[in-house]
Amino acid sequence: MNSDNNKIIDDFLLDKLDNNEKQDFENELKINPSLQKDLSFEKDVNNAIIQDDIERFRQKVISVRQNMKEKEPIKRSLFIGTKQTWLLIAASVLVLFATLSLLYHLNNNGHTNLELYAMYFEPYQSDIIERSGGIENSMLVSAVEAYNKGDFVTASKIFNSITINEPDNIVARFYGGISNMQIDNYPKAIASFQYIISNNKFLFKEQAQWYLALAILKTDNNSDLDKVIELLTKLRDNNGDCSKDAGNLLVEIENHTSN
Amino acid sequence: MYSDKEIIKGIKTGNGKVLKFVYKNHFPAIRNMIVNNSGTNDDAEDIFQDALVITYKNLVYREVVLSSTIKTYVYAICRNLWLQKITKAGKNRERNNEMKYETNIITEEETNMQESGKYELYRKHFRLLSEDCRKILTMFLKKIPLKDIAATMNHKSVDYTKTRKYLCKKALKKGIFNDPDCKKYISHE
Repeated sequence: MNSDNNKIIDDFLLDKLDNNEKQDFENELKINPSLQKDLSFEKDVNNAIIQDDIERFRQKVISVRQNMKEKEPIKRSLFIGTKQTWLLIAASVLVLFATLSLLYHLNNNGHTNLELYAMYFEPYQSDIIERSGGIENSMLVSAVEAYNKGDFVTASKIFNSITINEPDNIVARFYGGISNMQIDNYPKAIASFQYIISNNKFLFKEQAQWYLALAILKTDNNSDLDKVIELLTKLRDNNGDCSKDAGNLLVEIENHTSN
Repeated sequence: MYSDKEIIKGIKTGNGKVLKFVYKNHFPAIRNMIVNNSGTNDDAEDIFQDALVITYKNLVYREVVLSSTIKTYVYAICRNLWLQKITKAGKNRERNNEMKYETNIITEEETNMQESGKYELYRKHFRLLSEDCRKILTMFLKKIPLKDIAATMNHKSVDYTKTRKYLCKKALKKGIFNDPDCKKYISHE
């Protein structure tokens, strides 16, 4: 690399030469192999820097989009939307309906949604190490440690951070969902389980369906009861690990809705 | 609500709020267009992301001045990218001659470079530079005026900025030339 060429090449590439200087440079370029080589090198280095900047922009776009996706299901389940005030009214009616329904059922023999939830919900026992044969992700280790200690606030935060960087980390999604149930953040828990189910992730799919049904039940919104029944029926008929509990819960729900 | 001018500025600076606004307001139309033309939701996500990256590159490094609204511009890029994709996949051999925007921005030359070890070597040494050096060199390539670079970097004068830029570039080249893999790609005296 000839250092004398640096300035003129820079100016040429950044379009800072006037017409005469540009012409002179181009004439010299035709007969000077060293200048040709230096120019080619500078172009390549500049392109590498530009590509690096573009890649950073892409990462920013991905992060913004991921962030939006994380929040979208929560918003839907909370019926929040500045342009959808009618949904707020509908939600209020549903809350009123749920309250009346709760009062009605308390005066009858069937268990309420909340009672059923309390009867059936148990946090999933951590079996991550057995499944993966050891964990390399240090954040995941910290999250599992917090989960096992019952520190679900910390666990949910770390699991959430993991899924921002690795949306398909199903272990973090699943245990993050359970952690959120433990801290009463049901919309977020629901979003986690829905992700696992909708992305057809074999690992934890059945468990995600079970906990999704419970999380919806806990929100005590009777208009979503059909969804709970649909999930439990699938689980019962699958003859999997959750089949027995799903069948029993289904019977309880049918009793309480028929009262 | 952002004006087109604010959106363009936001894309150029990678402003997260503006990017979110663009997604919220412009992505649904792209999704409809792709899903209604034998694509999936994931295809739409990929195409829209590529279109934003192309828009950024055109605005920042090609100094493209838009003659349409940003929405129309991004839509046109998406449509062209989608046509390229389905044509390549053999789903649709028909060419749409109505495309007026330059969207074939990933040229053969750039593609080859992206794939080459030489390119990776240069990027590796660029990333090894200090954050300040990376910022200065990038801003120069974005053709940001010297006085603005000096202000952003808190330099006391533009002369100092010029010197810093020279030293940063020199450090980058030194790193590249001292790399054992350098000989595979370039010869230098």
